[in-house]
Amino acid sequence: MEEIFLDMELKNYKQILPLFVLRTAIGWLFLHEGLYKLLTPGWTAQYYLAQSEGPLQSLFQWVISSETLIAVSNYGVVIVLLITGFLLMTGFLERFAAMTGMVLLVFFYLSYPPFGEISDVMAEGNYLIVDKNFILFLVLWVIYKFRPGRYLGLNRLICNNN
Amino acid sequence: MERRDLLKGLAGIPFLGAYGYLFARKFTAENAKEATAFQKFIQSRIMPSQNTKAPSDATGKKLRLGIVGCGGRGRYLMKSLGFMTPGDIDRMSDRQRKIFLDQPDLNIEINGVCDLYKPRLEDAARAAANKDRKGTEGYNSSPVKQYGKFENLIASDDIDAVVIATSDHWHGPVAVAAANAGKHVYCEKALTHKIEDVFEVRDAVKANRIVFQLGHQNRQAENYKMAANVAQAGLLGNINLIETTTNRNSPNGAWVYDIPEDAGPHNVDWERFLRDTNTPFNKEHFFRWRLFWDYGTGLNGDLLTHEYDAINQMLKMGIPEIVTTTGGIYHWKDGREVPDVQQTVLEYPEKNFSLLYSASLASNMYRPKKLMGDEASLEIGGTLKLYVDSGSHLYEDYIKSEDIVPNEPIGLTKDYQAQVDAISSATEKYFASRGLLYTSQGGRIIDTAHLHLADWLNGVRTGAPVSCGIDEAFEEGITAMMATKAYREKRVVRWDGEKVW
Repeated sequence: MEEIFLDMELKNYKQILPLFVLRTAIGWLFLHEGLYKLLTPGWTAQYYLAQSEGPLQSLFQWVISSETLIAVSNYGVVIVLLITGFLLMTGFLERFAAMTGMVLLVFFYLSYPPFGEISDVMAEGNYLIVDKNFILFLVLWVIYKFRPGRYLGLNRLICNNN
Repeated sequence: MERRDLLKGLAGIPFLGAYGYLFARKFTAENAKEATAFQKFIQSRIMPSQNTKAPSDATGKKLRLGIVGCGGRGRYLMKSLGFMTPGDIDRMSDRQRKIFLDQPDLNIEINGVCDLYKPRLEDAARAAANKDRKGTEGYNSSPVKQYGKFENLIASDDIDAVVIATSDHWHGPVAVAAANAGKHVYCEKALTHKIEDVFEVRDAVKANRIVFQLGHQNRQAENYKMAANVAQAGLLGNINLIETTTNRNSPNGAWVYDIPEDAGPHNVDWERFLRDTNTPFNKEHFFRWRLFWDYGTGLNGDLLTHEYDAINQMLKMGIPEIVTTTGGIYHWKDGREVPDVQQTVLEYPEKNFSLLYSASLASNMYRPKKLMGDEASLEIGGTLKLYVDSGSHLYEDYIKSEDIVPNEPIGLTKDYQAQVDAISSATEKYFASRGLLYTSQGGRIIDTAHLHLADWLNGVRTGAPVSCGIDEAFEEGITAMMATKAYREKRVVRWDGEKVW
């Protein structure tokens, strides 16, 4: 029932527009992060992982103990950022894009979780539980649920569900 | 498909295009950004650092080495030469193992090892035989020859050169014996334990024309070479004060090493360990010799030497005219004789500067080296930072044009470690200095001790000068002995160009 209700709501163009803008903006953010990393000589996730003290610390320590795993995570992050960004901007396969983006954000969130530890004093803002990664995650969840690409985006042409 | 569908379907494309355009513009602008006048000035004054590729000779005759002293440092040097026990190779993490296996082959063999503690000697003999860097699986070599007396190792026909990593009080005698036998020497710092030894080692090395390298691997670190360029290019003006430090705070850092339980008179050659004392067998003295004056010189030989040599590498200032040392045993009240907190001041009146060495073995507060000049100062840690003085004449124009802000750090080296980011997070992280174990060459991490040994082997093969040869070693040896003398005799110690008094 919920789906039907949403569908009806979203047929109203004025209500799709903010979602479309939101999706485009977050796609822009991901695409730029990916492209910037790709074009920065010597960029590596190694030190970011090494400094992590969150719940994934042991996983990250394991990753950085191997050159291969570091390379995989470096390419992995860049590729996921680029693909997610591109798909969100074009509105193509947006559910898939939202999922990959959400998975990535869970990793980012847990790398330096804003749980009120003293070590957060060096961060660029002050957060408790809810930080920017958290909000971005919620935004992608909304995109995943509402799928604005069916109205504004390539999904409209491909799914042809109207 | 309706036209309306098409337009709505492609709604994201203009944004993608706009992004692409803006990104390309930003990227081109950043790449084409002109260096500021200040940057051009700095670049014009600093000679580009020469890429020190590890000299290797994979085709020539193999050099045949002997190792005297196979404790902690001896084992580390063997690793840097490419030799480890199969067990140690198994125990390494994947990453460490990769760095070790990637380390270039130095085209050497180790034909003999010498130590006074039997189990260590046996381990070293197994490591020396592990030419193919194998783990326990696949290792089937027979151990190399083991010596209890260094004289026999030196006299052996199948050894061309000797690596000395004994306790400090034996550096001198072993080095002199090796030089007199015409064997090349790589000797760990500190050069010696007695002032007379410093002269004897120098004379023996010069008389026999062997290639001598003192184990200050800082000579191979890229940021130290760059710091030398900066100082020598006059970018700091007249350097008048230098600050160097040691800060460690752990039992290991304070030389409280493990004592093997099985060790005893049956497997430790105590008589040979003593040089000119008559102390009864004492395990602590044997395994923690750095704590006692009979065998070591405390901070002076162990850590001041590194700091001193790093500055000597940059400024080539030689032996100080006046040395004072004060300090005490303020934390590690474990029966040691050597101080754990120490201040040594080296005065160079003719060169118009003081070098302050300040050390604590009970605080690991991070204090980088600082070269202070009347135009600018240089901070040498993991990266190099230049601080321009507000009253500087040399940089006056650049301060006026706001190219630079006085007393704000200006990074002179690229630090890829600082490029830490992730989406929506601009977290700044404090990166602890990792010491001098590794340097980076073309993005590859290389063990500086390996480079330093390679530099020595290259000198042996080709006659090329080494980076910390006997003249630099002599300066280090005299300076460290002056600091020890000043502390133990509680007085000002002087060097008149020929002798210490």
